[in-house]
Amino acid sequence: MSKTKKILIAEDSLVLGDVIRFNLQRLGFEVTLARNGNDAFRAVASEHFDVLVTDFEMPGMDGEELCRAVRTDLGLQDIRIVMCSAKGLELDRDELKSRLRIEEILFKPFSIRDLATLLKELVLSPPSNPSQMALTS
Amino acid sequence: MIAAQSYRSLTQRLSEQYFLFGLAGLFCFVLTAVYLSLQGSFLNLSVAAIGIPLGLLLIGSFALRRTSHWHENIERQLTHFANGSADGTGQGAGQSVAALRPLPSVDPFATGWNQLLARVKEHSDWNGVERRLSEALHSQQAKRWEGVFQNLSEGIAICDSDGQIIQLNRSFATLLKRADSKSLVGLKILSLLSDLVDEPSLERIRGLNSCHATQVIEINRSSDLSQGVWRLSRIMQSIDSSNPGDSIWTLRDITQQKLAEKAREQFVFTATHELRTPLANIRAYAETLSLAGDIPPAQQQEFYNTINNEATRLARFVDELLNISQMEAGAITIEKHEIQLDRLLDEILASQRPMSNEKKQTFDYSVAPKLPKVIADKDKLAAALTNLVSNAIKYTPDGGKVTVKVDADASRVLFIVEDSGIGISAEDLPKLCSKFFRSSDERVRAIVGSGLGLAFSQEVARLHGGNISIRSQLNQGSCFTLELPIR
Repeated sequence: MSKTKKILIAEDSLVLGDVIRFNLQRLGFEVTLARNGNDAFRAVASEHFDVLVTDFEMPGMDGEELCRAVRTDLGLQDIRIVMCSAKGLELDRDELKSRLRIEEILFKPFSIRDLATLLKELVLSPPSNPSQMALTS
Repeated sequence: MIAAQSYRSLTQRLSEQYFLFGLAGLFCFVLTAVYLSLQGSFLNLSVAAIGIPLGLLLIGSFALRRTSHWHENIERQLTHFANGSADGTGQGAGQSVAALRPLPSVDPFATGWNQLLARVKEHSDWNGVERRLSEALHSQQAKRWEGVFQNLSEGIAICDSDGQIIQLNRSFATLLKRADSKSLVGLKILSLLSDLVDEPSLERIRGLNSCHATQVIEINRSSDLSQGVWRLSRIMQSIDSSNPGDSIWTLRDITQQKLAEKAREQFVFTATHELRTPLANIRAYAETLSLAGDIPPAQQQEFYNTINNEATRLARFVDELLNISQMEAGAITIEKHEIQLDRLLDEILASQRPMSNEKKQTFDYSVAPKLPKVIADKDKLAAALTNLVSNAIKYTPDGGKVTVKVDADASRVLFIVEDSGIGISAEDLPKLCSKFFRSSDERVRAIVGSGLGLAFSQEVARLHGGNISIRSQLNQGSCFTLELPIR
């Protein structure tokens, strides 16, 4: 990694947020922790992040609203998004993934190791930017 | 009586009598002929030849009339009776029987007729009584059915082939919020219903028109379920029925059922969420500890503590689920023993105080100087009180105030839990203790909960012969009082 990759974690549970941050920092990522959707949105708006890891259920702006705001309001197409959720089958996983261009949705309890592997892969692979793809084809 | 006497047929009797008359006539004729021949006046023989038979004929016909008088009478009556019955109505036959007359009882024949008539009349009278009784019964049964129809909880309307209401019961009118059911007769049922439902339901109602089978649909008053959900069914009368083309519509209010279903669904989502959250934390911390060998001991200890706390939270939730499932199954039982109230309270407060401290709340606890002996189920009562205290802490913002007060008099103990929290709206207050209920207030939604704690606590209080009463004002705070009678 030529440059430290920046990751934003939006997670209302401090307990879980802390342990994710602890692990990702050990892997060499620069990690910012936001306790709710609104804080996360302000963070994304003010600085560049490579990956956004967001919880689905959060007080105020929830994960889905945050992703939509990031993609449409801020027009950020190249930030990679990973969503974590304590919900189950009631989420339409494929629909969410394609609509908000979410790389992966992890259901709690997920493995920290899986999350770390996923993030490492994501920051190494180039983002599939639909606007660029439209220009080249 | 009649059978005991020897029976001689009419022909027999007639021929016996006429044989005698014949003999008498012959004897008279021979006597007259002999007398006239002795006198020598044969001229008078022709007079006798005419006069004697004529006289005999008169006497004979008189005798015949006497003999056959009753037969004729009966024959006439029977002919009348036959004509009366011929019109086919039971009424006619009844009148004919009444018209039959008994004969003066002069011979066994007439006596027989009279007795027969008496039997028939008796029978006919019973028939009449029976008919009147059955008519009365029928009208009573019709009234009974009408009563059933009117008082069914399900709304029923009968429509003609044009969809116009012919008849409807009270429940149907009540469901449509009309006090007078008669005012709805003649109205088109579909347009009537269409005015009362939301857009998607309207589509479903329209869908009924094109289909002629028996159909059941659910219609909503609005997108908010609590505004009312109805189950509407339409049964078409078949062509071979007495009223082909008519349709029977039933309308049932299934709002409560729908709300319960939704609440249950919500509960499953909440429960999974509640299970997944501590599990996710436990897994993440355990994995971290096993993966990274170089974590400083102090931090390792912190991680172990977190795992322990999360496991405790999980265990508590599982306990709560267990209590609730028992309550749901109606299998909740209480085992009463004498309990030491002060110790129980200390335990509860010791478990809850840290949460309050974390939120920097003022936590006050006061207790009556002398607490009476209480006979109760220690675990269940502890769970109920813990619910009240932990709710007060959960729904009171940081820096707020929670007060726990225990009062007692000769007959009861009062556990009063008061907070300066977000409070409960007047609208939510009556539903607060119902299973699965959670307020739609965003501040409540932000806090995880199953919506079952209070339902459980109320049930526990009830099983002890007590009660939980709630006072609250939105944004000001709430006061929950669990009253426990002393036995």
